[in-house]
Amino acid sequence: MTPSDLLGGRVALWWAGAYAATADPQMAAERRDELRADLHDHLQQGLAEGCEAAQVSRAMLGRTVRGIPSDVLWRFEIEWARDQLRSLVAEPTTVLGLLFLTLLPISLLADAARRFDFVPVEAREGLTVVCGFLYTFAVAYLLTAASMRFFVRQRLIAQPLRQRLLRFLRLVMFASFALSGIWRFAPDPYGQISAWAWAVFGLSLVANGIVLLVRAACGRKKALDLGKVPS
Amino acid sequence: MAQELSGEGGETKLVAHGTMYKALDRMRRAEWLTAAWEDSEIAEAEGRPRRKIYRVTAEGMQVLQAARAAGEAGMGLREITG
Repeated sequence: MTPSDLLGGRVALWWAGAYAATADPQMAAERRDELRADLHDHLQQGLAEGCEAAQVSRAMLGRTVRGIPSDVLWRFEIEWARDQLRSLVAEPTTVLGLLFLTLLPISLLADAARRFDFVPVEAREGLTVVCGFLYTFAVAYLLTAASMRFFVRQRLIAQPLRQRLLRFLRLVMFASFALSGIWRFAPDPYGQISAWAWAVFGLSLVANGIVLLVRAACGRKKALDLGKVPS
Repeated sequence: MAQELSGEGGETKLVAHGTMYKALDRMRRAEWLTAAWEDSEIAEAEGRPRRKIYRVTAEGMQVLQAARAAGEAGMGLREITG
């Protein structure tokens, strides 16, 4: 029997592959090899002590789950040391996309949990805390990305006005969306801030759409003038 | 090592993977430990994956002894390592 025969072993190996997927290849390979040896020894030790395979599998799963924060932190430290995170702040689209993909289901779950009485209070409160944390992180990240752009003025000057307007509107849109989420379940006056932020989000969404439409229309007109698109 | 660190807890309280590797890495960077991969031929001959062998350095041994003494005196590791 090998660790890969156990669910716990497979999950541990999959997780190691996932969080080290885009890390330095040698570093990632060493982490996976170290884990393979660890799981192998864990299994052999467990079997030698008379434990059942299912019990060892559960223990492996527990060790993996409890180690997730350290694994994430390990990866974060590596990227920070390699100065890779600077590009994520300079070009925030990837992180924003991931954040909003994460925020959407969690927000829906938090909303649903508040509507149904059978959901335990701990689960409701837990989801609210997670939402608050993620939305706060989103606002902090947006502010960091925006301030970096503000200080690196050459980039802004090099961009056409419409592009700069679009970027600004997107920043307002994402920031107001994130801000509206932080206190969405809080009483007034924080609830009022959330409501105002939600209104700003709606307005910036519409403005963003208008600018996109204008840009598309201008692009078509330009193409017509150049004879690239048949009228 | 995880078994040893888990104390009396048995299987279910083994140290988490991520936590243990991170702690080992920090101790290695502090030069309390050295790490080297064992010869893959030995591992193959025994039919198992190769292990990473950690050895405690002289400095690490001093810290370990100080930590043990501090533990007996009820002090924390931060207090003895500064």
